[in-house]
Amino acid sequence: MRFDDRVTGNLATYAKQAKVIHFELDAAEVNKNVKSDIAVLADVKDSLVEIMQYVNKAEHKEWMKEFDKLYQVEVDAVINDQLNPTKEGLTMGEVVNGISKESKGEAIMVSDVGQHQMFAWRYSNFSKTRSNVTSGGLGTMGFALPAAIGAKMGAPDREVVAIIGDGGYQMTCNELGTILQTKAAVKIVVLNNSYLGMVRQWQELFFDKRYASTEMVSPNFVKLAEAYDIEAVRVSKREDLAGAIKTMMASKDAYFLEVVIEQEDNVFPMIPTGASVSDIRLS
Amino acid sequence: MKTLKKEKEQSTTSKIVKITGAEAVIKCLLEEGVHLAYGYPGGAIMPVYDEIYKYQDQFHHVLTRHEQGAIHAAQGFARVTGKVGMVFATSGPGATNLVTGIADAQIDSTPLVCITGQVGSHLLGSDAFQETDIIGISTPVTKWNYQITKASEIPEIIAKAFYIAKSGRPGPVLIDITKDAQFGELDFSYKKCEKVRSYKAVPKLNIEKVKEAAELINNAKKPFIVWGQGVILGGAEQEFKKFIEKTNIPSACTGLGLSALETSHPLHVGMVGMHGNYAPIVLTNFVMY
Repeated sequence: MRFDDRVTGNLATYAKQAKVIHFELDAAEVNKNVKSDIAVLADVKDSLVEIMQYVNKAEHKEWMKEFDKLYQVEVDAVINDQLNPTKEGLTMGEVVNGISKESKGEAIMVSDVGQHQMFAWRYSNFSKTRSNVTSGGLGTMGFALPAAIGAKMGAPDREVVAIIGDGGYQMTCNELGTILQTKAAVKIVVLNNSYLGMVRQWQELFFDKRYASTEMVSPNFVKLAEAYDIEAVRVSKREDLAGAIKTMMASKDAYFLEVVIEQEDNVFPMIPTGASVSDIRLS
Repeated sequence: MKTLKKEKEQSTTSKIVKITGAEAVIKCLLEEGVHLAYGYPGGAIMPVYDEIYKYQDQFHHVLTRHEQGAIHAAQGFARVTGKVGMVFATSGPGATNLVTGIADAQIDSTPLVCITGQVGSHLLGSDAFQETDIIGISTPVTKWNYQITKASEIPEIIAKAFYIAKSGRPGPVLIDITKDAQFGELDFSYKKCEKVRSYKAVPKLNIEKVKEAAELINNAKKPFIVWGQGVILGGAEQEFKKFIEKTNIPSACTGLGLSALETSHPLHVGMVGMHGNYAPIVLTNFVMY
């Protein structure tokens, strides 16, 4: 566990009331960011097998209720608007969730970097391990398309869906050529809001909506995919979304789906950079 | 005599044969069970690609459209299989185009072995065509790297590369091989690496610490788990689930920890992080009242 700044926010206000047990393999991580009271250094599987004989069976029903209560707060403030939107524009949450549902949580979701990545993480239901392939630490835009090709070759019997923004897609869309040559049956979903959405969100929240170099003009993505012999569809209306997802997931070959997204949607909750985790924003 | 000869032929590892460094590279990879690599050819790695051509019935190479595509594909392969992802690139721009993927694999603990071609050893440091100091460039973002200038070094170094890439906390390893080392000959034999002096892949479990941790957990009023990708990398998904089900501790994950436990599990209370779920983030700082 790196306990990177995106997880902890301001370290000075992170879990200060807590006693921390750190199960860790790499000694260099212990006390690097979060100070631990007890560090158990070993292979995590060995640690878990060993600790099972010393821990008691326990219930924490009241404590769990705290989580349930706050989950409901998030449902009301954020999740409902994503999954059951009343506004006209499509949300990234409904697209990701629709794909995840269509695959019954079995698909490997490969995400690029940005808003769509956060939506892919938040609104996918995973039922199998090793199903979230993403650039977590470095945040490399352009990761998803080639990573999805490799994932499909590593797990040919599993459905592999790449969720990519219009920005990151154009960083490595040359790899459509690799799909053309290898026939890797990757499902490519571009969530197109015509912006570098995450940077635009920050500009909206912290730079008074000065959208410096975040508006993005894109080529005809459908024609581009077709140039590589990949069946391609563009969807911009809610009533077409479910059918398009169904068709894509039923395809045995590589498939391209562009979904036109609400242009200025934001991803929440959000802990502003450097703030305390307690200062999490719901809007 | 006849049986002795047969035995000798069957053992690929102990039989010593004279081959080129380039062929040794492929034979090493086959010994490691690697049959798939991603990459992009170029001048300084051509002897290896010639062997990829010769071994194409046993060894599959995927030509990407850019070295960055090759390394991200290898990362995707490694992430879903748990195996080491394999990448080839040439010297100079081929090698530097890998750097983003190497840094990505390093911070996300993804096991990779990257083999880059390098100009002939007599040209090193001469600003030769497509020469770059990829060892210097990749040092801060690799778990280990090494430049091979003699064919005879190849088996031992590649064995070490695989051991380091996949053992303990996994990560990317880069091996740079000069062109003369690829053309040079060696007496080939292969032995997998099982340890490296001065590198301890897995610390020895201290039972006392486990007992201390268990006591703290048993006495905790509001225990909370944050798990990361370590559960997946350690292949400990089942053990983790048993542990939380016995202790009934609400558990949240990092982005990279997602899917180690099914999202629908009643003890899965969401994700932490900048855009994580409200409950586990707010309750991280929960003060008892």
